[in-house]
Amino acid sequence: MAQATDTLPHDDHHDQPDTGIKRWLFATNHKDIGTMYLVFSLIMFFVGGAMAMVIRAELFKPGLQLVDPMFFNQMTTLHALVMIFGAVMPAFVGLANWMIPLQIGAPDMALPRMNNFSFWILPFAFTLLLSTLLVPGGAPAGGWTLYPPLVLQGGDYFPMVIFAIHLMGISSIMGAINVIVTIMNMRAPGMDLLRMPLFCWSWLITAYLLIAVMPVLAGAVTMLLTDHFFKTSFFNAAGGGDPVMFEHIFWFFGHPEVYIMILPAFGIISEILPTFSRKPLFGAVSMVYATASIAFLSFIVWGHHMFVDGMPLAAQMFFMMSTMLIAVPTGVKVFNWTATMWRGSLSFEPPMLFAIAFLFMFSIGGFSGVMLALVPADFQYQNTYFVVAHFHYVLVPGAIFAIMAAVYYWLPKWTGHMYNLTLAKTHFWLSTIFVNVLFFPQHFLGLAGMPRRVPDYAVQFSDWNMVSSIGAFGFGLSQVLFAIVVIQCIRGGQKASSVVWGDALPTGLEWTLSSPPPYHSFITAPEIK
Amino acid sequence: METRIELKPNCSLTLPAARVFFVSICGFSLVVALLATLQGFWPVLPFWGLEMLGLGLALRSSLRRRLWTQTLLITESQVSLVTRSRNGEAKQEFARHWAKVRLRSPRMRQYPSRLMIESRGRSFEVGSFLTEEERCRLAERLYAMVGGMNESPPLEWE
Repeated sequence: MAQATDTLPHDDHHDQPDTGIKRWLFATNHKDIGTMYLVFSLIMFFVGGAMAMVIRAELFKPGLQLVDPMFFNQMTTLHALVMIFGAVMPAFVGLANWMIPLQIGAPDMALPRMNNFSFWILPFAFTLLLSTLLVPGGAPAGGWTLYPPLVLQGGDYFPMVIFAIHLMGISSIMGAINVIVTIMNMRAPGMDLLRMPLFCWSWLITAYLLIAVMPVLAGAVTMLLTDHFFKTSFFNAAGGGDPVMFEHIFWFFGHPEVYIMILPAFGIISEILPTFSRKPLFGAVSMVYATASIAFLSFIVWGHHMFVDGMPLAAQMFFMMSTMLIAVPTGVKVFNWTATMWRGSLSFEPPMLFAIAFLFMFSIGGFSGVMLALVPADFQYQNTYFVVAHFHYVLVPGAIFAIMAAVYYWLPKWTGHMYNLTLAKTHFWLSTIFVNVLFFPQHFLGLAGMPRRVPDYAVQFSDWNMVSSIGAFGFGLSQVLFAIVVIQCIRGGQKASSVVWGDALPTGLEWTLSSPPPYHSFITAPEIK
Repeated sequence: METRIELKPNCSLTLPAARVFFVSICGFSLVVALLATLQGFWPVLPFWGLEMLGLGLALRSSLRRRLWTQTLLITESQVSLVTRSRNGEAKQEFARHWAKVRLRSPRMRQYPSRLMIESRGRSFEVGSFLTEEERCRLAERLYAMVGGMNESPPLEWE
């Protein structure tokens, strides 16, 4: 193409993006925006991780050692908000930006300028959120769930947090709209919906979930704002409101949000396992139906977060049964992934190692989820470290390991360089060992009755807390290796072929492009007769 | 001898399918918003409306691509360009001998190049809805058929 166009009377047309800040500030190219999302997410991962280190350092032994309880609570709240909205979600949006157009054969996302806008909202949102640490009264300390009346009794942070959450919501909605419109309208000829890669499918369903629940979050936090500043009484019992209804509304958003953070991970694992098993994905269509079923069920299980709030027995039974029902489509997925590997010609490159670790450890999180779904058992487990262990098993070796698997899988495609495999495998083994040292003892602590969100604890919990903190420091330090591998790979290294993974022969349109792909991707899509 | 080139953007979503899709997503999320409203939490409803407005506008913007088509008819003596859009149809004609094809670089790299057919002070854009590579490929094809100013190359294309 370049050779042919050289003969044309055009003025120095080139196929390289602008350099400098303008390239990033005015980026409309899906690859640039995807890169920005991923870099932002990595920075937030380290920011949220630093907060986790503060938490685990304080919990290393009983008593108050390093920070006062108020600051400890600020750290737990900000750690959650930063990790959920700043690290995990932007990472998946970044992967969507990079991979969806490549996988469906589209030249770019459907609405590139909106794409740029949805990214650039995020740095402002998180600057606002993190700057609450500097205002009188400090950052929010009532937990990421923002339950009233506790959240209404804080300092000057309150309107800043609400505005930051609105900004994050706007960014998420714009990202979701872009994904939906791109997948629906920009697929290459012949790419019908059931031929679409599972990563795209999982993102389409995720975007649908985002569209359905984000107005609920926006409405809920706006009502908190009006209760605080305009004397409304949506959640104020003194004025006839009901604070428990906030919990209902919040978790109606919150539970689908959990699936928003895990469905794209399912898509990633469904791409990686077949590649390194050298077999097609077992039951690909059933995977789509399972993903859609999980998404549907996520709307009718929110009550399991509030069993102890007091609800009719029938409601408890309904939420218990519906929650346990999620194990069925999730089981279909785990079975299909296992069947994909069964008698496959397996090889254990870093993406595959992370995918297999995901499969084992996400299942641990899933099993403890089923335990928490049982009403009588939940009465015992609620508000203990067992819950902390459960959701961290789902989100860290679940969502975050899937993101790392995706980065290791597609990084050579993005950069054109193969990364240091030894370093990446070292990163994998250290992460896997330390993540279990970090979170598995928290099951024991929870079962023994240690409450969550406390800076101090009874001495009988000392040993496992110390082990957990050692795991946290080890896991945190291991992630420096991840940053090193990524930076090294961006800066250079052995040239990667277009297929990248050699005889593993991954399927998908993205592997038909060179590594790295050209600044503007596809030359085939529209029909020019 | 004449060559006809039809240009249309790729759209995988038909208008009826888009309607069904939009109505279904509106309906589902409206149920959610109405349930909250019925419980007295009406602020969810305006956010639902804003979001659906955004989704609708985004879908409309993306679907409008399909209404925009161009037909280039190149004969021994003439180049004619018919552009169809929502606003109707416009036809431009150029003497082939005096027409030239020009691929203009964007002022900023993030913006696409522009493929122009120019003649006697008139200039019209072709294939602005194509991808960069497609536009380059079309430019290459047109340049071979239309040539530069004061040229009439044979109407053949491999």
